[in-house]
Amino acid sequence: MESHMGKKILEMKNISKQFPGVQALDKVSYDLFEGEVHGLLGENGAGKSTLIKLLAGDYSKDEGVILVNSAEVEFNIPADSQAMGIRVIYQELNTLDTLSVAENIFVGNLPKRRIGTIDWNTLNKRAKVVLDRMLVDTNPKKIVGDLTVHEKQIIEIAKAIYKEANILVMDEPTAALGEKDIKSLFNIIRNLKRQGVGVIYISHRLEEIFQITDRVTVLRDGKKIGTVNTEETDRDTLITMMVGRELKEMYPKREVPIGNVLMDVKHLTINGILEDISFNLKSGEIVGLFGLLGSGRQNLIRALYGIDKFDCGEIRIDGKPVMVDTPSKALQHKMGFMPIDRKLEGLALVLPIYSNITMANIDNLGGGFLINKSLEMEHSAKWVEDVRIKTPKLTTEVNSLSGGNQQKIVLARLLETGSRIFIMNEPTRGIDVGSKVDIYQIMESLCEEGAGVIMISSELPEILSMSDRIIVISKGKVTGEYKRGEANQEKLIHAATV
Amino acid sequence: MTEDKGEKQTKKVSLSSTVILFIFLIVMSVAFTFLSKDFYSIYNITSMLTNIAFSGIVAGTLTLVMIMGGLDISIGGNIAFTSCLVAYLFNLENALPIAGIIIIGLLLGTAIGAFNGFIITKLNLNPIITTLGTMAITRGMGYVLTKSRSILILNNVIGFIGGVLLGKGEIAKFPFPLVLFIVVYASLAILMAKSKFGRKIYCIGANESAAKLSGINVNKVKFIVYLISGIAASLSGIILTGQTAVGMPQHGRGMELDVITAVLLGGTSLYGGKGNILGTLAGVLILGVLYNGFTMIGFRYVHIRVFQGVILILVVSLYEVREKKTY
Repeated sequence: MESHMGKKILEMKNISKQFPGVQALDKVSYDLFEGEVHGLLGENGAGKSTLIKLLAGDYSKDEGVILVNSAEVEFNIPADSQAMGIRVIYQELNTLDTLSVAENIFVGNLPKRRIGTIDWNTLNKRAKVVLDRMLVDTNPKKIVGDLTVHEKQIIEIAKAIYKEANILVMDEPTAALGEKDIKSLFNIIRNLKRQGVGVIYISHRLEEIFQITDRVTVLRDGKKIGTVNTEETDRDTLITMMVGRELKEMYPKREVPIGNVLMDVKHLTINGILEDISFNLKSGEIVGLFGLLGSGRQNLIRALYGIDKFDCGEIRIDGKPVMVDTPSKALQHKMGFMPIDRKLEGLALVLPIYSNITMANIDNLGGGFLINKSLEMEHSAKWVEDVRIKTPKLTTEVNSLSGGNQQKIVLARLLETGSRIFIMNEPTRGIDVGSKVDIYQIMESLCEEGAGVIMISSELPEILSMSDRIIVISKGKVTGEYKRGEANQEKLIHAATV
Repeated sequence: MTEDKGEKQTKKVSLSSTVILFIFLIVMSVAFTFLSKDFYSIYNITSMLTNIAFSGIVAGTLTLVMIMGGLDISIGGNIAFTSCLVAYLFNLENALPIAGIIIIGLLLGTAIGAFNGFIITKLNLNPIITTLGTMAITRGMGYVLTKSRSILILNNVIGFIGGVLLGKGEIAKFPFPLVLFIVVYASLAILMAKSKFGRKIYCIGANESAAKLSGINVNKVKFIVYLISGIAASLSGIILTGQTAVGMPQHGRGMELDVITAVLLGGTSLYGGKGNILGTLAGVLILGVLYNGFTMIGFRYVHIRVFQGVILILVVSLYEVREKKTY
């Protein structure tokens, strides 16, 4: 596995960690060279998070050795890990939104004048130096709360650079980023590489692993399956390593007969946001909606589901014009909505699985004022099985499920209400490969039963493989419509940037 | 982030917390029985429970509000205003019959609840700010109505509602407030644990956006819950008026804190989505027994107050620790 001339800055040897009832890590070894991007891939429960938490000093290991720059270390608290130059950037960023960029980078270490007050000039100058080193253009005086997700990410990286981190862990950094920002992030990472920083890159997105990593290690069920040079491997091999079974296709598209028009959208307009949007959805069909951030796709589907108002236009369901002005009406017309952020808008994290599944159908759990508990459990058990969630107990709080299982719970809720028109906003964002495939297969089954799916996706391989038709929206207008097989990445991106 | 963090089962955790609370209650009661001769007497227990009933009823309905993710601190002011209104109407020339006056009192509570509900749902104002305002308005109205004085109200019906036998000033054998307390708690328990409406309250408190997307009429549920809180408070106001035989604007001063303490003690989360009526019952009883028992031993009111604060911080900290298991 020799593709680096640099020295080994991190070595984790035979790390094991057990939690009550589960062996989270079983003699896992992982190393990192300076100036390298080493990817970490794995399914649900594979052990990635545990490994990182051990490295960050949040957990303590049961067995094994960690060496930083060839010297053995013990991390009892996070400060120990940070003192050794290790810095983790989590998916949920930890910025102080009411303070400025410079204050965030130097938090806890603000330069002071002799009297003890903050030396703003020096602070901003130093911030500029760090940002320049990253080849980034951000104004150090801007308030962080006003920045985009990517800009906040840059600040977290800047903070790590300032603290002279030479081992940077990035956990799903692109989950909330658009295409342009991902390019920017990769440039920053390549720049860090040149400066000798080693990056541990955790992602579910295989295209990114191939774009940015030098090596990749795959974990499965707490064990290391293998480490390969990125150049020497391919998608199918990685998937097989992750899932442990022959996954012939990442995107299990089936031949589904397309039927009548389920929903017809005519001349939908929201002043200033959407202009004259017309399209239809047929039974058995998956329509992909593609576009950049701010193109109006989100506004469109929120208008369809009755969350936001629209100014002109007409919607017909099964040929009849309808007024869907509340989610309740949308549900009556058998529409189901999967929001983009399951934690924010989709799930009641402190409530049990069954509560979440039946949330949109409470009034139908038996007649009268009381809930028919056995009916509720019966329904919930059926959907849990249908969406292939492995947690056996329905009383489990949704909080403790993985991202993939949580997304499946949202889907189960739509199934419970008998939806026929599914509106899914980035249905596989931030979830593992195995769960993604499960969700695709469920989507196909639903289509086979005559449902129709409108799917917003910014993952090009996903939208190209799963959609029967793709509609591209740019700056509030429909700029392209492609049948299956007609579109490719270039055409879509071109139409999205018109 | 990508692993199942180990299962947290909702039902079991909250039930065992409640069980612990009740065990603590029993232990405490037994202790007081030994520490004070007068504690374990029918008179004391009945009068203690009657006192508990007064604020306990409001604690029950406040549990609904808090599980929903809201707050109602106007309850004290509501009690004061209702009490003053009832006593005032009673002492008028050509006063209405007492039944009518009581109904007007309850209607006042309904109006206050509706006012809160309207401002919070239609104007989208923060519940703390809204009910803070209502608290000031209602208590102020009490002062205005009575010109800052206490108004005597001697009437058998009101006295009965308050749980006292007029003339003798005695506590009745089966005080009405206690009966009401049991009925209210039984109803609320069924409502929250088993009814569709109760479930909607939990959903709204746990994630209001998700509830909206799920077609739940959030504004309607919120309005009704604040309405219920308002009615319960005015009912408590009438009970207190009967108990004390006066309507005065100082009634219920500071009881917001006691009620909120009881609800939090019982395991309801300040953030919403978690809690249950049984827990509040335990909280209410624990505080009531604490107060009564310590008084019997000879502690003074102020000392008990301090102790109450300490218990609150201790218990809620334990709840927080339990939520976050660390390895």
